[in-house]
Amino acid sequence: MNWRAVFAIVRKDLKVVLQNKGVIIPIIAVPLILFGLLPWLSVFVPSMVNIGGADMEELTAMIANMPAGLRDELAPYSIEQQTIVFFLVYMLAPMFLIIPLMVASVIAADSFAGERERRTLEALLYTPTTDRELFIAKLLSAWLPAIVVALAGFILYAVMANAAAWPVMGQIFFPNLMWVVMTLWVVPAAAGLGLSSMVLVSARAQGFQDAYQTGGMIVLPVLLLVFGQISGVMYFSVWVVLLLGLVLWGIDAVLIWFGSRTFRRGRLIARL
Amino acid sequence: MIQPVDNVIETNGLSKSFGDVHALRGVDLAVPRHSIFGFLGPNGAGKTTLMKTLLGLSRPTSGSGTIFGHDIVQESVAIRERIGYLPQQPRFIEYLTARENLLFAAKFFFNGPQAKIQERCDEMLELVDLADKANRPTKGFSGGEKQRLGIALAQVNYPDLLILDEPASALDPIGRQSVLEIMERLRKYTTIFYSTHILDDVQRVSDNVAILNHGQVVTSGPIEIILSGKDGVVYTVTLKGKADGLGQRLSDLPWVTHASAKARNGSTIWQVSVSDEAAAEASLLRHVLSDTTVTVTEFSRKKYELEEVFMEIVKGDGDGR
Repeated sequence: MNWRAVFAIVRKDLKVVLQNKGVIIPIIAVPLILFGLLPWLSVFVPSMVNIGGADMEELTAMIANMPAGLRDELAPYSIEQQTIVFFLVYMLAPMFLIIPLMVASVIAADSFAGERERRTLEALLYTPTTDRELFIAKLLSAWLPAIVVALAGFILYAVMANAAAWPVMGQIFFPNLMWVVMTLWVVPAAAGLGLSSMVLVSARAQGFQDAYQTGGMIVLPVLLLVFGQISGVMYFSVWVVLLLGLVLWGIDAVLIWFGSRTFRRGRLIARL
Repeated sequence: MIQPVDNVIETNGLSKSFGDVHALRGVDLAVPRHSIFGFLGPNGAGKTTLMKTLLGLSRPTSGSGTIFGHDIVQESVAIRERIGYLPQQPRFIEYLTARENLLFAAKFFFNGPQAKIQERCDEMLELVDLADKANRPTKGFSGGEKQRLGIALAQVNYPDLLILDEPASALDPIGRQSVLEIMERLRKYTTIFYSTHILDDVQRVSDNVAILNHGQVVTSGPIEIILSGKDGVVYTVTLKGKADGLGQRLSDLPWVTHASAKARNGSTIWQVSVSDEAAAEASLLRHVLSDTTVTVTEFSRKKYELEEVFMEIVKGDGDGR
């Protein structure tokens, strides 16, 4: 494996991404809104409920409908604290997966379909690299920044969540073990899902926009997880997160295998 | 003892089909080391297909080929390590400067210190006269500048073979001139195999030529042989005055194979094909001048223009169909 060439392509792709506003703006804006702003909005939920003339009964009833495991996790906290922990630790947890999915898929769309659209992919095909080296370089170009952005988002979220909730919590409550497992185990797999699905979409897409719009549907399963958690059907326990990661890694492996079959010089050159 | 010719590219019966379309049909080619090999053909003749097949980007349907002795299908990575390639329309990363584009290309080949790689990139920018534009993003480059930068990129790895696909066809006369000058400068370092349909360029810089038509090589060899024409040695004699019976007198000579005349601007131009060059040089002019009523204004061995040869071959091969 010619790693020198692989990392030359990765560096070049990142440089191009940093110059492309259509790619860089969502990569910066979405994590800032999700992890910078949402914690502050979430801590106002208990006070907003009170301002609305209701009491905490509705929230208490909602938490009472949650799975027993989650109720046990929340038990040590007061009712106000439970609301905050429920929102910031559990309800927003599936939303966190949107970041690696989105970052990986937007960069992969640019790296695969965008580069073909700009016809700069052609020059790469003439380099002394194997199809596998090119494919791995392209995967890493999307996967590595997705991990970095998700980690940065996680740190930002940890700071913001603890800071915003401090008046109510009076202690550092975030992250718990589930979030650590999710960040280290599920986030890389989610990034893999974003990019591997985009590899397949890009093989048929006309260009960056086409690929990005079609590939954007990959966030729909995340929304299902959010609704599942709100409705009390499931909650993000450590075991659920471990299982989720395993499933995602399995899907990644299958999609990457299919993607690698479409990434052949002969096929790519014929489509340029 | 005759030394065997050292060929960089060799193909044997190389064919490539796309469904019912036969882009290459049994191409046999031999490109000698350190030559500038012009690969001619009308649009759609299969030139780009052949180049992509040689680079390992397209698998031949049948036949085989080697570059530096490496098989073009099995060892394409090893081949691309020693080749520089300029596509017909080179594209660059527009946000990057000319130097950054070169540095990116160099990273595929060099492992050495950054300063050495920079030095090589500067050397290439000098070679193609782009040193003053090295730090400009390629977005604003003209067609000629892009083409020159493409050559610099193709040459960055000290290639043993430079493959150029229509390097000058989209350029204005100044751009063309400049690309041809660069090719001539590179002649001493590398073998150059390039495709074109601009015949003047080929005649100016090439040592060897192959003409491709309908996916087949219809002629191939050193340019002086190609330009000598298929009719053998031909002399041109331009006369003033009547020359009754000259055609018959010339045809009677045992070494004259054919003689024909056409009138132009008050003169008569005779074209005499001969089988014995020495005999023709010694006595053809004397035979003509034996008729004292004529004046010879010009006598020379006919030089074919490549265009003439090309048109004759391509039309003779089915008028482009």
